[in-house]
Amino acid sequence: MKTLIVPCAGKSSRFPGMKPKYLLTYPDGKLMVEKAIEGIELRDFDRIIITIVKEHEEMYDARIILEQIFGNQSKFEIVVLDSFTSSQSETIALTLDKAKVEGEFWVKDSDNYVKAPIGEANAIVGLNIGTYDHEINRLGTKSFLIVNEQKNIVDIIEKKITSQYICIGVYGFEDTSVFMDAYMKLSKEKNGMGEIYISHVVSYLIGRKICVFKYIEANEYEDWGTVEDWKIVQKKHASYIVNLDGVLVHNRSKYGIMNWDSEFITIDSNVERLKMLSDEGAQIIITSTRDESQRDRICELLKQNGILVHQLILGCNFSPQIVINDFSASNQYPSCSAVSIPRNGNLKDYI
Amino acid sequence: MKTELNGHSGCGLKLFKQYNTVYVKKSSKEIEYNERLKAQCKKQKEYKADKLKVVSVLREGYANGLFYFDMEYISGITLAEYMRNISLSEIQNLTNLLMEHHSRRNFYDRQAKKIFLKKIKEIEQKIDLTNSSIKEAVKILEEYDWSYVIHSNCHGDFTLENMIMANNSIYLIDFLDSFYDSWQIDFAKMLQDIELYWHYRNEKEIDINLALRLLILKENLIDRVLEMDEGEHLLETIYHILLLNVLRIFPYTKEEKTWIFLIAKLDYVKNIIIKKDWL
Repeated sequence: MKTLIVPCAGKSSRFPGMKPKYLLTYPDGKLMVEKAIEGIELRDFDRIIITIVKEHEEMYDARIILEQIFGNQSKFEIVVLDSFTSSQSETIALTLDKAKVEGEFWVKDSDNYVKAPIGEANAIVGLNIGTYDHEINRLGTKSFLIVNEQKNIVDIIEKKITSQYICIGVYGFEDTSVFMDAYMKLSKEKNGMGEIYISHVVSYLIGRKICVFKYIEANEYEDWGTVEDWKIVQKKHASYIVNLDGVLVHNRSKYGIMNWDSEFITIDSNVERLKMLSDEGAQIIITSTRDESQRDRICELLKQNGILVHQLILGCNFSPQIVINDFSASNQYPSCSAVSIPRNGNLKDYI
Repeated sequence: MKTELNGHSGCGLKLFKQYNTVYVKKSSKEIEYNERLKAQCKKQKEYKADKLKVVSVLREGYANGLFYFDMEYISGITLAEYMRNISLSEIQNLTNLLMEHHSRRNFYDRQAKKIFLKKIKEIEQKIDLTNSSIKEAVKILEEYDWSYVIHSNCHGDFTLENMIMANNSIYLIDFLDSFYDSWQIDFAKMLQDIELYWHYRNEKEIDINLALRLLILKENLIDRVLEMDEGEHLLETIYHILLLNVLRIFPYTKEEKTWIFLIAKLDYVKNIIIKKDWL
C-alpha cells in the first residue's frame, strides 16, 4: 500500500486576504492543488489523500471543489481536520491517524510543482541548484541537503546555504510508524522545538540513525510558497495581446506599393523579445487589421520565428485597442496594462 | 608577545609567543587561589583519557607569589560552537568519543551519600529557600539515597566550552577540583549545556539546527547510559546531580534574566526526575 498525502491545512498566512492558496487558479485554469500533483506519477499510488480544514470546507466549498477536480478517481480521498494545525508534520500525523494510513507514504507540498521520478521510500526529492537553470526564489529559506556519493542524505541544514541540493517538499517514508515515532518524540520534546517541519523529522531520523534517506533529483520545479512567488508565476504566464504591424513586422497598409502582400520585414529585436516571453510561458495573442486571406502567411511567419501563438485574431478595427479585466486579491490591481510603442519601435524599451 | 584570553574561572589567561612557540599561561589572581589552581594543574597533568586528549602542561611555578602554569595552545573551536554545524552523521562518532570518557565502570561508593548531603547542606545556606521551586528541589535532593554514585576519573567542569575541537580530536581544558570525583558529575555538567542550554542562555532563540543536534546528542548519550548495568539508576543519579548543579548557580546569579532561566530549568529537571522521563 502506497499513499500520497497533500497537506492543505495551513492558514495560507503568506497569501493575505485571499482564499486558501491551494484553491487559487493557476494561469492554465487548473487549481494550485491540482497543479501541485501534476508532476507526480499518480499511478504509483494506491491512495491519494488531500487534507483540508473544516473552516475551508465551510467557507470556500473546498470539499466540493476538490471532489469536482478529483472525484472521478476512486483512490482519491479528502480528510477534513477540525482546526488548523501548527505545522505540516502535525497535519501529516493527524492524517495518518484519521485516514488509518498504513505502510509507505509520501508527502507532497501543495504550494509547488515538482516533476520527479518517485522511487522507493525512504527518500527526499531535491533540486540541484548548481545545474538547475531557473531562478530559485528565497533560497535562504530553504532546507539544504548534504548528499554523499551513494546519493544518501547525510545531513539537512535549515535556512543556511550549505550545499547545492535543496529540499523541495516531497518526502517518502517507508512506514507510518517511522514518521509517527519521530514526530511524537519531537512534538513532545521538553525543550520545545517550535514549528516542526517534516525536514526536522527526517533530520532526527538520520541523526539517530533510525533510517537512511535516499536523494531523488527533480526534473522540474516551480515554487508558489508566497504571494510574491505566485505573482511571478502569473506574470510569467501573462497573456500578451500584440498587434502585428508596427510591432513584430514593419507596418504595411492594405494599399500602396508596399502592402499586406509584400514580403514581411520583421523587427528582429521585438520578435526575439516575444519569443522569449513565449518560451517562459506567456500566452501570445496576435491581432491585426489584416484580413483572413493573410492568416496562413502570418502563421507561417510566427512559426518560423518560434513564437507559439494561442490565437490569431484578424480583421480588427484600425483603431485604439482597449483591454478590460477585473481585479481581485488573487489577480491583483492592475490586472491589465497597455503599452503603446512608436511604430516599428523597440519593444525592449517597454517590456 | 602576549594576548589576553577570555577565561571564566577568575584566573588570568594569557597567550604568549616565545621564539616559534605559542603557549597559554594560566595564573592565579590572588594568593588565596594558589592551592586550587595548583590542584587543577595537577589534575590536568595526571588526567587519563583514551580517546579524548588533554592539553599538555609545559611548566609551572610562581611569579610574584602567584601560582601559574603554562600549557600548549590548541587552535580550534569549542564543542559548544562546533555543535552548531556538526554533521548529523558525525553525532554518533562524537557520542562514542564522549562516552569513552564516561563509561569506565567502577564500584558504587558508599561514602558518596554523606559527601553529597553535606554539599546540599552547604548550598542550602547560600540560597533562597522561600522560593517554592528551590525549596522543592532541595527536598528532592535531600530525599534521594545517592547509592548509585560511582567514584572515578573526573574533569570537574565538563562543559561544551571546555572541550576544544581541533585536528579531529577533542582537547579537554580548564580542569576543576570537584567536591566529588565521578564521571556522573561530568555527564551532568555536559547535560547542563546539551539539555538545559546553559551555554546558549543569552541567545534570543535557539537555532533549530542546533536544537536538533543537541537533542540527538543527548538521546544518544542517554541511550548509552541506559545500556549500562543498572543504567536507569545511574541516569537517575545524573539528573539529581544536574538538579544540584542548577542550584549551585543561584548564589552567583545577579541578573533577573538568569534567575528566571534557572528557575525554569530547575522545574524542568525536577519534572524529569519525578516522571523518570529521561528520553
